[in-house]
Amino acid sequence: MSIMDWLFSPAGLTPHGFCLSWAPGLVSLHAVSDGIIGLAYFSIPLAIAEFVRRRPDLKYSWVAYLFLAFILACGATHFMSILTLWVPVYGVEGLIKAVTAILSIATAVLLWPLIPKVAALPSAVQLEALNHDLEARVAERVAELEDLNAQLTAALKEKTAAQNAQAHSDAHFRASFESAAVGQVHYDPVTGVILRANHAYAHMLGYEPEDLVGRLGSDFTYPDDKDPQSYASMLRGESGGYAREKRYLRKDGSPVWGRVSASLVHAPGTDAPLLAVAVVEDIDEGHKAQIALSQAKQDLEKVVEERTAALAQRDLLLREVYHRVKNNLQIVDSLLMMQARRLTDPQAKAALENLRARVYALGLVHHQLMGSKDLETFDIAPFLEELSRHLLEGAGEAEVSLSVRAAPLKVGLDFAIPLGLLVTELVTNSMKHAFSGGPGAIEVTLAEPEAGQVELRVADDGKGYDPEKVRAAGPSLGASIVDGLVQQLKGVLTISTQGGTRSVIRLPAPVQA
Amino acid sequence: MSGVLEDCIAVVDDEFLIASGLTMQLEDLGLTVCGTAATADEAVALAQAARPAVVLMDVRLRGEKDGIDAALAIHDTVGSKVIFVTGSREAATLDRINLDHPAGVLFKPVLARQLRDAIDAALAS
Repeated sequence: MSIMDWLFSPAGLTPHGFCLSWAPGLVSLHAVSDGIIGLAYFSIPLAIAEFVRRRPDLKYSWVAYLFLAFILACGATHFMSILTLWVPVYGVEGLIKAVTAILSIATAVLLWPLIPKVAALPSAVQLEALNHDLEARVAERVAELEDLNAQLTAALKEKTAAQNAQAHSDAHFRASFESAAVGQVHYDPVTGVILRANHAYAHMLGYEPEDLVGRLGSDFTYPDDKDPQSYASMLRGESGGYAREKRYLRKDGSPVWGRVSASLVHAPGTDAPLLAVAVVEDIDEGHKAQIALSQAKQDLEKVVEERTAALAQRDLLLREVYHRVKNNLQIVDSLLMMQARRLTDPQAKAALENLRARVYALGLVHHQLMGSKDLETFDIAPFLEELSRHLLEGAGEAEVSLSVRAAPLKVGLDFAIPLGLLVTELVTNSMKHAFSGGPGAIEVTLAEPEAGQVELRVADDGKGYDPEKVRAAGPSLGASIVDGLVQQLKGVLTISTQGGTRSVIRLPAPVQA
Repeated sequence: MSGVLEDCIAVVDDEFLIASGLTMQLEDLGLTVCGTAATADEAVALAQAARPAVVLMDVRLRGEKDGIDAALAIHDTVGSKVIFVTGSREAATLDRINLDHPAGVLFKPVLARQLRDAIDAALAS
């Protein structure tokens, strides 16, 4: 018997309807019932398959597919039962049942161990509670997050404001740093490297600010004026800063004077220096002007010194000259005196004594000049007093009194010598002619009756000798000396003999150099 | 220092004519001149030898020392009264003169009467 026969027509076996005696009711009942069951069994897996397809999240969905296969197989057995009512394919029917059996066993075997696992799966109610709980926690979390968000937004706002303020302040600082009229430089405090420099500083040195950044600050100090001690002392904290005037080195190698004030900026609350800050003022012009001024002053002082020395030299020489003139006049006086002692003729003796009086007047002028401050002028008043006293004493006329009244008047050699000689002649005349050996008084007066005019008056209270008569008596040296000197001084002489002899000479006042 | 001084006057001046003139003036006044000297050293030697009561002393003398040096030395060794006769009015000269506590100072040219008064005053002090 072949396998095909075994499958489709086992030998000798009749269709199942035969067992039912082909009773129409019975066969139909079986056939319809098996058909309905079979259809139902075929529809259930479709529903399961659809369900599983829709719920891809289901755990253990392979069980569903196992059920699906097992129920399909069961459905197939029912359709085979309908078939076997009329066709004895019991071999096929048996095989299908065997497949169904394997599937059912497999399902049953695999289902048991699954039960605790599936039972552990949360139920819908549990899930709902869980869900509810979750929702609450989510809500809570959302609220927290919103709160955080709000805080963050506020913080962000604050930070932005701070950043804006910082930017504003930075801009402000940059503007004031860049546009400052005085030089400003920031250095690395340890290395001394320039971090930034403004235009005023750079231009003072003949650079642009960017040329200076990164270079050593000390490179721009004039070599002779470097002073690392001051900086080091500031860095060690021994001084809060320093200010000094020094020369800087320009790009072209020339020096430029600046006044620098330097200080350190520290990190808040520490001793660590962050920045060295210097403000540099260009004082070159002022300094040059000062140097020029002090040079000019020195030159001037030198000139003054030279002039003073020259003047002192001149003073020394003048004094020496006056001294020698005086000494020579003294020698002349000695000679005259020695000569006069040898003479026996009283007239000749008197003439020599007159000469001595004139020489004395010359000597006295030089004597006054030596005592004067400028060696050129002196006050006429003490001169006239001394001169008159000398004349009186020389005459030996004890009973004649002499008074001198002179207005203060500064005179030089050119005026004093003729004036002194005039007084000598006039006083000598009075003493010789007015009193005849008796008592009397002589008055010498020098006044300035008006500006630019000097009046010399010599008056005695004697018998009123007439000078004209004296002149007529013979050629008189004294008279011609008086006339000549009055003329020399561009003066006018008037003589009156009323109550004594009075000689008045009007002169233009000496012109002061 | 002192001892007895002679009743005479020494004249010191480096100009012969001036010394002579002064000598004559003194003699005309009836005084005795015991000698003249032209330098400071001569003046001191003369004063020590003649021991004059009064010395008429010129300030400017030839040589390194002046009349004031001589006057100081004479004052110390002899004790004569010294009357300076000077042509100079300079302050420096007058200051130096005053170092010696002079018996008198006369300015050239000197009158006989001034001379007599000064000598009388020096001898009286």
